Amino acid sequence: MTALKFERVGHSYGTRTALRDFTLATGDGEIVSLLGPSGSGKTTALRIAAGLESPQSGTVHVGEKLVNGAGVYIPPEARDVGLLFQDLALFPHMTIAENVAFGLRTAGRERRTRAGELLDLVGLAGQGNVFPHQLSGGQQQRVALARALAPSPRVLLLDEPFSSLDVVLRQQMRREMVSLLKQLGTSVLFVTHDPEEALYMSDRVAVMRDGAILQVAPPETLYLAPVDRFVASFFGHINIIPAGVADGQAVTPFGAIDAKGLSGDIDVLVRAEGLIVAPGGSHAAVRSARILGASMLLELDPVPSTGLSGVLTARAAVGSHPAVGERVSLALDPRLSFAFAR
Amino acid sequence: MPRVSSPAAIGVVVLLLAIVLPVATVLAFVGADTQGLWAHLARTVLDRYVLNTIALVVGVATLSAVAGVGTAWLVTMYEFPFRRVLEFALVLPLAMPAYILAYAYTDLLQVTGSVQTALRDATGWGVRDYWFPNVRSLGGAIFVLSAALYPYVYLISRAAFLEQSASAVEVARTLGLSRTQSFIRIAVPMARPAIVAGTMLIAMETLADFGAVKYFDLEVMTTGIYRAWFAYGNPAAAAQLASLLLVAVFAVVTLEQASRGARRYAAQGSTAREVTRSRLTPLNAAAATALCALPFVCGFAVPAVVLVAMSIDAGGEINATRLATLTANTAALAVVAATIAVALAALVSYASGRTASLARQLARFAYLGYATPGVIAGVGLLIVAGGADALLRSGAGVQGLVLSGSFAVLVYAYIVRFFAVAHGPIDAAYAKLGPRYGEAARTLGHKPAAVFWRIDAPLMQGTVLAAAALVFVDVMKELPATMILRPFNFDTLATEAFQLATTERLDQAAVPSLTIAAAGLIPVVLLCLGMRRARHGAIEVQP
Repeated sequence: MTALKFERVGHSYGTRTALRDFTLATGDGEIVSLLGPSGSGKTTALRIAAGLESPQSGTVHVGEKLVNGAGVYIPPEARDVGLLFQDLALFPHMTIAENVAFGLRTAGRERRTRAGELLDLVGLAGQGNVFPHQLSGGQQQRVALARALAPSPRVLLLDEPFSSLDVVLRQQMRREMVSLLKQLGTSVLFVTHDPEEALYMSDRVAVMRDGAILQVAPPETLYLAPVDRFVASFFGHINIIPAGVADGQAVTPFGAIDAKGLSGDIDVLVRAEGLIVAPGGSHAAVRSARILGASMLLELDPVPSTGLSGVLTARAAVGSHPAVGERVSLALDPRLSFAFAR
Repeated sequence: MPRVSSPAAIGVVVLLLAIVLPVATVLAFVGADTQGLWAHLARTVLDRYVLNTIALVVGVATLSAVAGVGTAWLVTMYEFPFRRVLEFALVLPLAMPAYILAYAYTDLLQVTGSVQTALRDATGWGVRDYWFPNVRSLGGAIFVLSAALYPYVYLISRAAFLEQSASAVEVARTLGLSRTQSFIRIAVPMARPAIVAGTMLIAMETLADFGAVKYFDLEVMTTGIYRAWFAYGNPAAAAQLASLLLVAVFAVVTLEQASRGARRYAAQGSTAREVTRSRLTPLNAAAATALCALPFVCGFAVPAVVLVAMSIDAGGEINATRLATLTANTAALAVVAATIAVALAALVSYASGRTASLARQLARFAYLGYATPGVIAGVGLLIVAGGADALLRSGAGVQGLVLSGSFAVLVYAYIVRFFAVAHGPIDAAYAKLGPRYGEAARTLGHKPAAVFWRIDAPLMQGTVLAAAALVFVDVMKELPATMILRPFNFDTLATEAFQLATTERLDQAAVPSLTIAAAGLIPVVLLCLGMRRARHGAIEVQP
């Protein structure tokens, strides 16, 4: 069963195209994220799903129900979707219990009980009578989540929900939210511009650019088998090495990788962690070595005989890395190196 | 969701047309025949009207800019005794319309007033033995209007100084400028657009003033228009003088708008961090206290004391029933006008949505009504109402005056003048509220009407009440349009005080004047509370 389905959706603001031929289906209980730079159309897709924008073409289904397309427009209040905003939008004139209960159809005791359960669920039991501004950023986040989940929506839409939090809190909230959403089996469409967040939170990630989806895949596939240069460069440092093709192989100064279906001048894109550094050798000199916590980031100057210009980046384990100025040899990890036409 | 429906845009256009109608009527008379009066005026008094008006505007703008910027500079940059009190006290003169200051200073400084009496008692001089400045003069009008209006420049430049990043001044100091130098070379130029905007606002108010100059018998444009209509009975000449004044007003408004635009740009990237105020030597501190106290004393303390003393003198002659009637009349008008203005403002704001739309652009034109002097709005509506009555007579056979001299036309005039007063804060608050709360409420299953009543309305409540209070007080203070358009034998506090003052019963004008000033304190107190909140950065409810 699909929870949310976009089919060939197109939308533009005036002359600017926000979405083109956008097709995506999310499954029951699945967390799917839309990842892309700002202006890539991901927020537009989310607002269309919520009914806050009407697309100019295409259809949208929530569950089995047609909500957009073929002359149909179901308003947000009748869509059975939950939405969690970037700025949370907690109603400042209501207590957090009233906020959580706002979307409930029930009344009286049942309503209070349900609101209490939800606050319980997000770890704010017994705090229903305080106002949003009396809570910390993380607590406000939990209230907003409880409010969005209260009516048990068919699909939950999240619009960069962690962007207002500091780094430590953000990681904690991610962890809590994923485990809660998985425990409840909620179907989620999630918008972010942070690749790490998308990889961490999602069952599948849709990478977007200029209003179109470039690739939809589970995080591991995106990382290990990007379909184009943009997707490849979106996740961390990448080195671009010009190469020629011979016998279906892309040949670089540091070795060859498979280059099926390509010919002529191409580029090999190598992730920083896919450039294997060994001491002693004649490929490059270490320009700098900086510690980034778990690993070292090395900047390398290739020697003239490689024919390469510019700086290469690679990773090494802390403690066993070469010294600055030392000559090293380089090799490609074929799983983390990708050949694309230039 | 559709943002702007066409009925909403049409509604806004209709409202806009209604608001510019009196001005358009006046302008339509530019070519009309004045039976030679225009030529006569041009030959005899027009020069004087124009020159006096220019002298008045230049004088008031200069004096109030110096007082406003100077005091704003002192209270933001230096620490001295009573600074915190004076920071708010300097706003209080806004509560008193200039014509009330004119009554109070006339009572204080005229030949039989307490100052000259004390002077004669002390020196033994007779009435003709000395020279004393006449307050009922151009100089007196400049003083009185400046004392009433300088808070506009004070408020706007104080805000500009506060909102300037402290870093700009601090960087200048690390580059070798003294505190005073960095203030003059960095802070004042950065605030210049704001200072210009405030000064232009004062020029606009001065051009529009009627009560003070009429009471002082000055020959300026507003009094000239009034005389052309009521003394010469010549609408065409009045309208032509009014057109001339309108050109001047719109020139000033354009300048003000232009400098505001620049100000927005200049304010970008500023932080809220306040400049640390420096301490002064005891002598300088005392001087700063005295300088900051002076405008407050002239614009509020002295006139308030004088008015109270006048009321006590007039004690026996005050007719309590009459006063109650006047207050009831005034309050009824003000409540009706404030309610309508706020309702219209809320509708226009809601209908035009939160994004830049045609309706929103059009709503800006309604601000021309606020810039229109009360005399012109009055004269324009008199022409409109007269024309409508004539149509009713010839078309429907209705006898007599239906619209002329009716409450409806008077309230209409107030809406023309003060729609912008209500629309400004309501629209700003609505835009600031943003679409998020409404969108969140919609996705939680509530229809637009429910969202309006459960989310928008409670969150906007404070702003709506404040806007209503502003319009209420502006209506209470309004003199010329009320005088021109009021129904026969119907008086408000302002018109009664004016008539008592001009018919040499000045003491009796004190009680209605004090009542107006007391009501005028309401928005000033609201403003001061706003100033305090803005300083503590606690205006935001949400992070």
